[in-house]
Amino acid sequence: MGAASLSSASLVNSLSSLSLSSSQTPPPPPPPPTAVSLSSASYDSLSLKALTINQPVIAPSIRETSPDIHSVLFPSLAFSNTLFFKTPYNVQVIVSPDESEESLIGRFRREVFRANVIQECKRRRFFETNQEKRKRKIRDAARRRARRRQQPVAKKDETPRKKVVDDQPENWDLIDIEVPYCK
Amino acid sequence: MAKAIPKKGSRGRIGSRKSIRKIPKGVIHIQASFNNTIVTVTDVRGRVVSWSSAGTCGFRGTRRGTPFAAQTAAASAIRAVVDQGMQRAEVMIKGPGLGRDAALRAIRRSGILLTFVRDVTPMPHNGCRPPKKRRV
Repeated sequence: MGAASLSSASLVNSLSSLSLSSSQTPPPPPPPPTAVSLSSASYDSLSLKALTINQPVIAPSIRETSPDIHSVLFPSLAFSNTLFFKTPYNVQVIVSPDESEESLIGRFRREVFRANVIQECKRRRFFETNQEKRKRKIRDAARRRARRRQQPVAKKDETPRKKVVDDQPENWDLIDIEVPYCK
Repeated sequence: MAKAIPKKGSRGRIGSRKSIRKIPKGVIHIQASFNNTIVTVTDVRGRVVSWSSAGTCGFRGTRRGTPFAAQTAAASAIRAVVDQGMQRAEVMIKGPGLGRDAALRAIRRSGILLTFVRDVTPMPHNGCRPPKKRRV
């Protein structure tokens, strides 16, 4: 196995407290020159030490924040998987030996979809004029806005409808009750 | 200047030597374009061991791009390599074709242990200008 795959595995290990979750986005690498030049054998221990010494504060926050925020918090590390490793990749899925075929393929497809690989490929196949680019951006923005508005609005609609429904029909019949001081 | 004289034995044996190579771990590259799928099996360093494609499996024309063709290509590439004793493999998938999932399925079914599945589709950071739009 090349040092690249080992290094990515060890990075995942060190930054997420030794739990290999395959759906995790590639975490930010340690200071590049030291990382790349280290041999794979001594890599794990040294990288752990370096990370604990240099970035004690960042490590826990990485675990808590979602992968989407990583590109905002660490903008320079947004393309870390494509630039820093020996074989740059867009998506990596770590396979456990006792995993079913469908789950592996489903996981891979979901990761690829999240990374927008196929959409980007199709877009870059042919040249796109500025007019088309503007149209595409407007369409994407509208889609994103619609998606963001759909979810909270749907929740609000449900609760008032439940309250309006009246199970018992109104009862105007005379009720025989003994009222004092009346016949 | 004296020219290096090759050894007598190596000249005759070069062809058969390469096929004896035993590789326990390798990398399977799948290039899935819209019209074809090429499956190449290499060792960890990248030296090709065997390859197969939908076209070499007998499909021609539009049928090369189908997922079934990708499946047969992957199966044929792996059959040649399993005999050489490859147990573990890494998969690198490139390109936006239909053969991506089908080839991966075929590899999974062949019994080779997969360690990583990676997507290595090359993404320009706004580099070369692509060809003009087709007016079909």
